Amino acid sequence: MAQHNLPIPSNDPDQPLIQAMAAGNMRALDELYARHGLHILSYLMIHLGDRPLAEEILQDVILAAWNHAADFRGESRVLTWLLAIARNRALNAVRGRKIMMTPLNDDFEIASPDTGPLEKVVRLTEHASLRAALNRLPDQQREILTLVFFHQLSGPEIAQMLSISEGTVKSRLHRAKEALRRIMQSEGSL
Amino acid sequence: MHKPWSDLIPFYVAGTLTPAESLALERHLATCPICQGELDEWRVVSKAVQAEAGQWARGLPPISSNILARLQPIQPASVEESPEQYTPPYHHEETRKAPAPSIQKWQHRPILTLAAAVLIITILGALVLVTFNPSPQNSHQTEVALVTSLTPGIDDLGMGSGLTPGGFGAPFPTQNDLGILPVASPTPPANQQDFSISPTPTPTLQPPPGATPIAQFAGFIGGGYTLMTTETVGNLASGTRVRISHAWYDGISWIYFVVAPDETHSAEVRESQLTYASDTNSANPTPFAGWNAWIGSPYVMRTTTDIGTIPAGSLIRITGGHYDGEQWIYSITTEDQTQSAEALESQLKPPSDFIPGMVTPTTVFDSAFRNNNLWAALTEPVNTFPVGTQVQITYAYFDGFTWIYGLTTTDGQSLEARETQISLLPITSTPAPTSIPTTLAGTLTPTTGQTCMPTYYHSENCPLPVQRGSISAAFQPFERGFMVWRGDTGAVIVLVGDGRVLNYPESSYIGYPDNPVTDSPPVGRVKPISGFGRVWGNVETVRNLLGWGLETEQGYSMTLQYTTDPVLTSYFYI
Repeated sequence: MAQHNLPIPSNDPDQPLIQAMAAGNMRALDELYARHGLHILSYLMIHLGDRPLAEEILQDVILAAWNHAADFRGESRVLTWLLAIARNRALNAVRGRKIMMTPLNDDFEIASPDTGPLEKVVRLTEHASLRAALNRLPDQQREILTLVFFHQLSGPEIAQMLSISEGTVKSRLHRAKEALRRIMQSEGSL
Repeated sequence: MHKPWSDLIPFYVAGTLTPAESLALERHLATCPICQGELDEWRVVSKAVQAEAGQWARGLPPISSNILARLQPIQPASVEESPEQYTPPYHHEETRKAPAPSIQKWQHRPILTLAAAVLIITILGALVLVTFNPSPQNSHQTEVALVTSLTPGIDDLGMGSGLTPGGFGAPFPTQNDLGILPVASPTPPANQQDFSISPTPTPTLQPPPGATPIAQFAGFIGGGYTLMTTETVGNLASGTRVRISHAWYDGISWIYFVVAPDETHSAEVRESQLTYASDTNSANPTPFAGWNAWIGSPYVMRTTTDIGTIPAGSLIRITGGHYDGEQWIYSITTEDQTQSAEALESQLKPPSDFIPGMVTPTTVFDSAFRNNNLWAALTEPVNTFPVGTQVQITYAYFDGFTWIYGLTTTDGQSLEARETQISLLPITSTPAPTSIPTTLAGTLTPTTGQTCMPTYYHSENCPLPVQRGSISAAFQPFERGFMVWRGDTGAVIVLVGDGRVLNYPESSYIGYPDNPVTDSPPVGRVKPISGFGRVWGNVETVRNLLGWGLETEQGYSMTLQYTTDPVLTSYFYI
């Protein structure tokens, strides 16, 4: 596994909640759920695409967070930890339903035909084409984009959470952007 | 060669680089058009991702009872706080810190929204647009005092001074002073930095400041008699066991409608007036309202389904919300204000560019729109208004990205601008609209010479018949201004020659004694009586500003120019 240069999240405002949960405080769990429940739910939808199932797995994540609060060592932000739990649970659920994830080769070198700025499209269509293209991306690419821009995890945090190298994080990001470009080109949006 | 920089750009857009990395990248961006192009692309992608991911970040279900039942109780070991004593660092007690008034009777009070508060404050703001004629004899056929809204003068009746031009340090009337229930403060938690504009809005990981706090007793809504009152409230004695029928948040604290075991006594109590009965020891929190940030917003949300007679896709605003123990229910009103309904979270959607979970930041110009003496200037052209245009803030709302301010120029034109497009002018003195005479000495002449139909006024704006109303009014000229009484509201309005306008609602002076001034007026001057006398005689500042009356008061028919502007409700003409 790659070495990650992670800052110690000493100022993570969620850490006291985890400590309180470890001490049996249910209100701390409620607070944690209120803070991050929607984030986790949104993340689960990437992998599951099924709202009722995502809500079900969300409950599992919360239960796991409660049961393992005492094991949390503060080596990552609490949110990262929760998302990692959510990811494991989601992948287990997907396996259980025998749904195959889209395989991707992370080490594939990107050929980048620079055919037109995405910005132009967005101005014209107000995100509609781009959002549609996002939904056609493989789960892995949607996941990396979401972790960066919606959950605001840093490169090292994502690498740690997904157990991949930071280089892979970056290449996966660029690949996602190029995939978006290709999808939009194929639809005549660019 | 651009690869290392290129790799940083998405994280720069996301705001997750270290300060040093950001700085280095910014220096590179300044010289690299290729990277600038990439930056633009990633910003576009970022927005789309946030919107797409955000659509799923809605409607958080409660933690299921199955899960709650499976939570393994853990005996506190090293942590000193007991579960019941624990207060999370971002718990919303701060929101409830202000002592909440006890409620003695059932009175369903709608949540006062930020927009409503702004509206009311704005209505009490001062802006005189055109000149007015001091001659009472000509009051039916003279020039016009076109007053849009008025400065709260009630400060001078015991709430601090709002009169001194340089006295901006004096406490401005709060919503409480104005008899308005305050909204939950938008002030962020102490550890959050002040809002600064970021090119990419960032989802927050914290509960929004000003968000509806967790209801301590939400888990008991609809439950049995498991709580009790901590003090006498209405017919309920202190210590009465009660059940909660329903609850809502009124901007100060959660309010519970509680019923005693005899099912005949009930009361509306605040959270602080309830406690757990001795055999009760836990509660489930109320989840955050998904659209909490939009309560009180302008008409920017839409319905996703038909709701009663309101069709799907209608533009609405949320006027309030409450949690019924299972879900949030919002009161909505259509844009034409003809229809209202209650809607569930899933039946509403915010503007397409709304970033769910985003904190509504503190407004940079919060004090400016609370204090209508402050003026700002455009820092960049907005529509046809050039840089430097002087404006006053009349209302404000957060559109999901930045605060947007409704502005009024010195000549009464309206525009909206983002926070980045205005800056406050140095505080010197109360700037008056340019069309206001600086003194009333001598005879004023009409400034425009425009003749209005049929026996009306000279002004820049004639009253329009279709929007015109007429009310009884009274008028009295003074040495340095006028007093006007509006028969429809009972308000006394003081128009000072230097352009200041002070408003005294009837409630602010009705309890004062008749003019207590015993001095006799100089020859040719009169001492005001009735309502004018109450204000003039009891408020020394008004006396000093206006001087003695020139003539006795007289009644007249005041023409009102109603507007469709939600902020400027009416002009009146003297």
